[in-house]
Amino acid sequence: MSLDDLQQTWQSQPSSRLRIEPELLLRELRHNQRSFKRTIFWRDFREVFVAAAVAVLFIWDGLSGHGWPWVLLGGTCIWVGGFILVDRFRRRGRSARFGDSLLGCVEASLEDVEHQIWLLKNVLWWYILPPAVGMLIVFVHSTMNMEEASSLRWAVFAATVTFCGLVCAGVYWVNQYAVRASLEPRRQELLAVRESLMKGDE
Amino acid sequence: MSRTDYESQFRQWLDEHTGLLVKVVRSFAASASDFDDLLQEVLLQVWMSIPSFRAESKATTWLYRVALNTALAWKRRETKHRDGRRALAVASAVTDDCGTPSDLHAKREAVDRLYEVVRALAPADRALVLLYLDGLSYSDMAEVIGISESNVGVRLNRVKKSLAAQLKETDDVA
Repeated sequence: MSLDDLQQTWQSQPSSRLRIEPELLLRELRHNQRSFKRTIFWRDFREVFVAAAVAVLFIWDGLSGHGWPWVLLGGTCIWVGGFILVDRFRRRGRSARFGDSLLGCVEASLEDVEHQIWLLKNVLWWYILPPAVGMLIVFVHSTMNMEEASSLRWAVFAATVTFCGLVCAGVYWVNQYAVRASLEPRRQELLAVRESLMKGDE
Repeated sequence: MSRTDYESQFRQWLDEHTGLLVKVVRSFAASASDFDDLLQEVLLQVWMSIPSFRAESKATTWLYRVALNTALAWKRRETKHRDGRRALAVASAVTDDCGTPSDLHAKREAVDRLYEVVRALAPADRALVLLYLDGLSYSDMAEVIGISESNVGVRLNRVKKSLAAQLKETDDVA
């Protein structure tokens, strides 16, 4: 079969019609779009507004007598929320758009994935460590101000710090796992598609 | 553009360019459930991308871009996740040509075989072959893919050879 025959065969396919209920389809598409927007809103709400609310709570606590370490802890929460907000703002409008050319869309997706990888690989520095240091200072401060016997105080301190350390390690591990299991393979796929789209165009 | 305009634009594209969307989806999804899943994804992306459509490019070029980008990004879902989705569209072939039943059967088999060969190509080559088989000009192909026209020519020659070789192979097996 020649290539012209192939083209002819392809173009002679009976025309396809979609048997759809336009109203049902549009209703479902609107619903999907709303649920997509809702997901994005709640993700931002969780990350930014919760950080802000917790920060206000800690700062309020610190200012009403618990001491400056609580204000510091509140400050670290503001740092985390602010970092996410600034990052979102800087990435605005740079996401992949499906109406772009294939190469343009692949490159934008690749940039998105590489940025996500960078965020998760550095999660220790911008997300975990600042509040962890803030919490450690709060624990030391609270322990030193406890009235219980010294050995009991430091035993409670050690248990609390160990527990928080394990939680932080868990959060770090989950993020690195997401990079290895999902983002890095996606990046490799996108690199392969980009390479094959660009082959011979350099 | 108001929401009503978007809706009428969407309906018009569904009426006029369903064949294009179905061909792209069928080139990336082999099974019926994958086909249904990807088709819904493509329709959703077309709907969500309408606000970014600028009339400076042809509707077909833009639809190819959206459909191919969605297909390239598409991941097969687990069956349990897919079960929750409602089937919104069923693509059906409209027999608009006459011929004996055996002619039609032979034609259908040839098309099925062609899809199998197209699906065996690398995703980027698949996109190029699809545009070639649909008879797009080099400049339209370059616009959809985002590479130069001369590169379209070079790459198309290479992909055509691999397509012909694959078809010969399946002919020999048959």
